[in-house]
Amino acid sequence: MKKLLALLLCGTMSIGLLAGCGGTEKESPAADGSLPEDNPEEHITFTYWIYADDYKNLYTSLNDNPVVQYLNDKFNVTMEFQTPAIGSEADNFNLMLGTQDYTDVMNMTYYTESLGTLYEEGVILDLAPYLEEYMPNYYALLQSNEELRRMAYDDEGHMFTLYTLDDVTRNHWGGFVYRRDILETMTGGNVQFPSGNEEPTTVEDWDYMLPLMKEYFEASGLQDTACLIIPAIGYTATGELQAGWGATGIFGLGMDGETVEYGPSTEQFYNYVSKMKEWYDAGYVYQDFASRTNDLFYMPNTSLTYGGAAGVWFGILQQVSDYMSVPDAGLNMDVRAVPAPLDTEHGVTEEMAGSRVTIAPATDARCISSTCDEEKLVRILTLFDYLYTEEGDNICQRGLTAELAADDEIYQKVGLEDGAWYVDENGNYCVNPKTLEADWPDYGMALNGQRIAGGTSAPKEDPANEVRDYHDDAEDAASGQWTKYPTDRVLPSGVTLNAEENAVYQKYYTGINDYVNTMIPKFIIGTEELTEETWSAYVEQLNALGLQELLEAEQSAYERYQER
Amino acid sequence: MVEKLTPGRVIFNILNYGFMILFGIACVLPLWHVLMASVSDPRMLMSASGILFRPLGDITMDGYRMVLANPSIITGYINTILYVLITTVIMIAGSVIGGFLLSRRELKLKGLLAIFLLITMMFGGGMIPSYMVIKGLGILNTRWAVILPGCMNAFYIMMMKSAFDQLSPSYEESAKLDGAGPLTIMVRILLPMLQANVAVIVMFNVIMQWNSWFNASIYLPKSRDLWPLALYMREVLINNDTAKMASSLDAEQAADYTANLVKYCVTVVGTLPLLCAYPFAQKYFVAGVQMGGVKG
Repeated sequence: MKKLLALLLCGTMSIGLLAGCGGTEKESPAADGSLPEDNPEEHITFTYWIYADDYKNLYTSLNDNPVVQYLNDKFNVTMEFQTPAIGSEADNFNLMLGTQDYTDVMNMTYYTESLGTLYEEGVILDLAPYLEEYMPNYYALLQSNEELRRMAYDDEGHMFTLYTLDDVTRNHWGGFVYRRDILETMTGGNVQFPSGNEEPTTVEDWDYMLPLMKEYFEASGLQDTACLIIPAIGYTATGELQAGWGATGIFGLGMDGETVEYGPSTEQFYNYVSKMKEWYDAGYVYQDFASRTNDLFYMPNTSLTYGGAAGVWFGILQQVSDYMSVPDAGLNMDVRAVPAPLDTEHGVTEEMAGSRVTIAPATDARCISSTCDEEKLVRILTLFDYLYTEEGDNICQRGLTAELAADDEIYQKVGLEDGAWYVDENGNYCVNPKTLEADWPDYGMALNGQRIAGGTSAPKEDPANEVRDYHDDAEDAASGQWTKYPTDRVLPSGVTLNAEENAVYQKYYTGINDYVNTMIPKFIIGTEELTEETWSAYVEQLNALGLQELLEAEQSAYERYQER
Repeated sequence: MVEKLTPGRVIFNILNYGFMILFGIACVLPLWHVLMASVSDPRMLMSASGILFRPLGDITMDGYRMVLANPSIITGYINTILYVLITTVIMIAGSVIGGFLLSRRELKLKGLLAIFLLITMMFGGGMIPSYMVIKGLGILNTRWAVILPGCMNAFYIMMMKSAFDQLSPSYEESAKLDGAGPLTIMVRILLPMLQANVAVIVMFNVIMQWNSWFNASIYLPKSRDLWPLALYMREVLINNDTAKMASSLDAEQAADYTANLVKYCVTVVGTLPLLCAYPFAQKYFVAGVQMGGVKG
């Protein structure tokens, strides 16, 4: 009896074990050997490394994404995704490179070194020779915009990545926000900024705003409060805050628009730090800012921001308006976007500031590995080129139309039989009104193909034709505030260092960055005295750490970029 | 004998009990905080700081509903149970046989074999070579990629060897006189006396496998449906990666309050089975570890 029982248990275990061996690969459109009528080419499978996302319980693998399924059918391919566990992306990517077990398409978000080196080592392909013939739409897009073209190619005319083009001006997702309700409360509804503007725009306006916030918090009885939360390093690496003082983020262009400068070493940055110190001493800057983790998004401070104990912080689009209010708890917040304050005292005007680009390649570009033979490469390029057409872009960014959704199980399951979007009688792109209803679940990117293409939205030929579907008026207003300043001093993201310059960068950058990130908080807190003399000593130390060599390398890379 | 309570003894007892109580609170408090947070109002949870002694706002089970509605969690549970069962069975069999073998006085090259095992306890092959081995074996993206590396542990073999060493040779000699072979001696004579050691290895392995995620994250990149629960849990818990936050739509999603709640719920769901099982296995712990300890 015992033996029988043991046998049974072993059998059950073996069946369970083998159950996973079948895999979940879906039957491809051409699995029966027949070729689809509309696509006579041979069916191919290509692998694609990409970081994972929350699929909102609709499916467990990106292979089952509705847009992926549509593209698979349309191009007679199977995209087989390799998605590492969240939190293990960098390890997984480096393991893939280390073991030379490359997928055919690789998302490069977690690769920080030079793509040129990867090409020289034979890991990735140069796509430039294939572009005009096999990606005519992408090619035309690049040819129509000089800046995009420069960014897409390297100095030698190679193209290693396929970018998703992100129209930042329409999709600006984050920036500084302030609590308007506090000002209304403290002034009895009579907010009068010194600049005369409706919203705070100058440093003087902030000098008016921050004391009111401090007074409000002191009267509130809250224990831990912050009128202004700044990052742990004392400045925003992407330049949002210090842009108001005329200083760039890390690397940017000087006032002449031609010379590369290192933001934290400039006179404008000194003015910024001086003001932060003044505000810190006055109790406006969060007293514990330097001890927080160096998190771009202040996640550890949610108890302050969501608890109603913060006045100004780096927020996101979904925090604006009254979204953060808890009426039941008596917490009514009116959160509004605020641009960096202009340092008019030192002659900074709107025209001199700038921290953002308008249209740029999104960060998660794709490379194609050398494991692809030419036939597969051509098929992959053809598929991706479709995403740069108006139709392909819309399907990828917005999801399936009614015609395509009719056959899709997931769309049926969520009740979007009539598709995610449509074109109205005036030619406008409109989202399905159902998805705008308050009780519509947040499916994120699970219903569209943005994850496979990355980014947010490619520029349309006529943006005016597009209906603002994702954001309400308050969010649009916020986006407008965060993109208020021109962008002529931003170092283009397409500037790439050659091997020699990269060696200089590797040698000096970390030391310089560490020193700056240690010193700036000290200047603000007061553990290091901040005077013109100490600032000069600080700049001298930066030069001793190799700043000039670093700037020379960046300058020559920028000049080559200009010549492309 | 009744112990005489001297002033020194009283002070010692007070300090001793005080310390133990504080230590107990320090262990229980984080668990309590997680439990309270998991049933709190998600919006109020976002604005809370410090340790929660009671739920914030109205008690809600929404987080648990969302967690249990997630097919990955159920799949993860099934996978984890499967990995725990299989690795434990193989681990016990291997450790007992290995330990028994190394404890035999007549075994040739015993020292060399022991050194071989000890080396694996001190040095690992590294991530890339291990990956290449798994790939070379053709078991990448299959259950065996997780099971096989978890099937053997040199520490447990040495533990069992030490346990066998401590048993009197007379048991074995008597069995031999009665005509028992090595397998009968090991399984029917000696092993029943080492139940506590086996229980310790089972418990150690169950806990290790229950919490194990790394191998799966490396060896199962294309087979999410084979992931253990710990890996799904890890995904949920650290789903705030700043690199991806830089992508606009990910950042917008960060304002989802329930995501915070789900983190607490998934922690409870993932640890509860072990928390419930642990007290029942605890009695074997002290005895088992002591028996397996090397004595001078």
